[in-house]
Amino acid sequence: MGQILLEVKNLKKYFHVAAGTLHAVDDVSFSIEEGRTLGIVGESGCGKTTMGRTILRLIEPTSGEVFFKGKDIGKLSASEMRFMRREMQIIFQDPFSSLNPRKTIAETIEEPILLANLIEDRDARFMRVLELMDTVGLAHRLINTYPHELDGGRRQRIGIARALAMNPKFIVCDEPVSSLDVSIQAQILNLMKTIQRDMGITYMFITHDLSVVNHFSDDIAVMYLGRLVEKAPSEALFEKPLHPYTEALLSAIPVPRIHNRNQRIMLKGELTSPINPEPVCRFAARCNQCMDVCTKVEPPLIEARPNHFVACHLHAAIS
Amino acid sequence: MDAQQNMLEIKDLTVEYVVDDEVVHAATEVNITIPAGKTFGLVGETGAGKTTTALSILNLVPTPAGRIVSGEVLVKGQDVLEASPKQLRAMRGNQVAMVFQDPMTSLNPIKTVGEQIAEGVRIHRGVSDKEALGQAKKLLEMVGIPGGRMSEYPHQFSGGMKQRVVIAMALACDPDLLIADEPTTALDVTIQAQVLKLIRELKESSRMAMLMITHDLGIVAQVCDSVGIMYAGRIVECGTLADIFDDLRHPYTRGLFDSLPDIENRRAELKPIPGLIPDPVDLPPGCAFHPRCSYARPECSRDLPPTRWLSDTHHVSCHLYKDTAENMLSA
Repeated sequence: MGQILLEVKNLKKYFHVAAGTLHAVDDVSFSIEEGRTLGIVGESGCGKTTMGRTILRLIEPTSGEVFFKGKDIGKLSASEMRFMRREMQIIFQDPFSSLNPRKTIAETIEEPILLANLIEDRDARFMRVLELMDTVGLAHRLINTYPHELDGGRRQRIGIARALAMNPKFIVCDEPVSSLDVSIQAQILNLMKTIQRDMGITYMFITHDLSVVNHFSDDIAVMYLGRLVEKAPSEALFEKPLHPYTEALLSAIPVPRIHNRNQRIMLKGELTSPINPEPVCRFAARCNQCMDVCTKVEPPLIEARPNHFVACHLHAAIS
Repeated sequence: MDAQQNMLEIKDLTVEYVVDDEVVHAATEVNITIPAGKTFGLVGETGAGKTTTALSILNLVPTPAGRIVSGEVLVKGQDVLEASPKQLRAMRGNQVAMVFQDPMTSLNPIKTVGEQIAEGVRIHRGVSDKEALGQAKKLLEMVGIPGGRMSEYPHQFSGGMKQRVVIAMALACDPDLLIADEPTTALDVTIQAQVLKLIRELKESSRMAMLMITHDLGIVAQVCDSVGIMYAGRIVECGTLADIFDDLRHPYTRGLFDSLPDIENRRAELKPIPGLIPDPVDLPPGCAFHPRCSYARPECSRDLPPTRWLSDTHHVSCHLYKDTAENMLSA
């Protein structure tokens, strides 16, 4: 077991909306070891993006704690936090809207280095930009191009270079490949793996694509309506999912083969509302194994097998 | 044989766009045939020409930029490109219906979903308002939405429900051909599974032919009978599901499969296709895929690859198969 880099304890983020309180992230706890990748999966509206941003304090949490290298970042002042953010970076989903259209590639990659005053010498800074472009596989001839001249894959490479400029320890990747074509998606995923191996970076990889998360992550956490419902090493989760939601989610993946396809579990209905949820299992209404207790008591997250956590009454009974 | 009637035949279709005096080769010499009751999956990446091909079927290629240069599009034997505007209007939404990627933008926000479904029935079937609304209710129930919700507005429905409404609209006039352009791309995976199941059931209960445009080979495996792989405006390989999934021949088709993470073997390395999709204004000479192809030979950058028929159903356009039908891709 490696050293724990990031620990999240009872993290909550509620939004007050006209209809009541929206529980975007509701009492989530987990940790990530240094150099590993935790995949966060769930459908739209389950709170995965809000969680990623809350962990970086881009959104202030309602309550709960986030420890980075053992330090409670919720207690840091604005200037201390700015310093800490050098080590905690983010790669956004949409490389079209996350880049400034009026800045060239060089300016875009140079900006964080300038802001943090990392390298004062102009030539040295320029060398660093070139080095970062090499790392992410951008040809030097592109140095003076603007984002609109580039395709999605290259734009995402700029986003990665910018995140790497600070020599971060930890990167939140929010759907980094979902807007890319499959052949380009594979290029970016391989690049991110190489970077992790070479620089020992820890990733939190947020996605809705289960085949991608399985390939990319060491551990996977499944979210449903703001709750963490299951967390396990990737193999264990895919081999023996414990939560009925995870099971349905895995069976819904369209697998690109025509023989030996598994029977699908069809979920009835759609996501219920995360506004003012009752203190019961949030998945109960769609669950095909729903019991009496599920509509009365909210199941806690328990360690049903070694390292395999699940929040479901089916397994609470067993342990 | 009547059962084998072709609902759609596209023959040597070439479509270009002229933008800033430059010619964009969007679709070139495309051939697609879909018999009644069958689903054809058109697969390719962004800019491959999938949507342009689909728009040509209803003669909807945006003008003046777009131009159908040559070819024929026959819907149940009738040539769409020669049809008068009046004939086309009678065909659109009636004989041929379309489902678009984004259900949010294909519904009118200020009309109830019932009215929107009934509209097509009223126009094409010439029935009374009341009858059309009754029909709309039946259609809603067929796609799994309680009929009582027909007086609600689109914003009251979730994404998956809206896509069901759009499908109900498309099916309102019992079309011979349904064109579905990435119908589940905007949906979550569990909702996508529901919509795909609906599409499969509809297929089994009718003689409707379907053209399914997608970038997802997993969806193709679930709903299609045959597949065309499109690259830079051309169909480079085409065959039945078994032809493509068990015996693929084109290096690009192989590249697409190798780029996908294998759900059963998470340690398997992804093998991306190197390089980028070519600019359709400036396509490489010869085979448009040759700059990215690890099998490229000298002739690939010079001559257009010939199309070789490997069986009655399977054809491939690649120089590797000029003289042989043997599979030339190394394992």
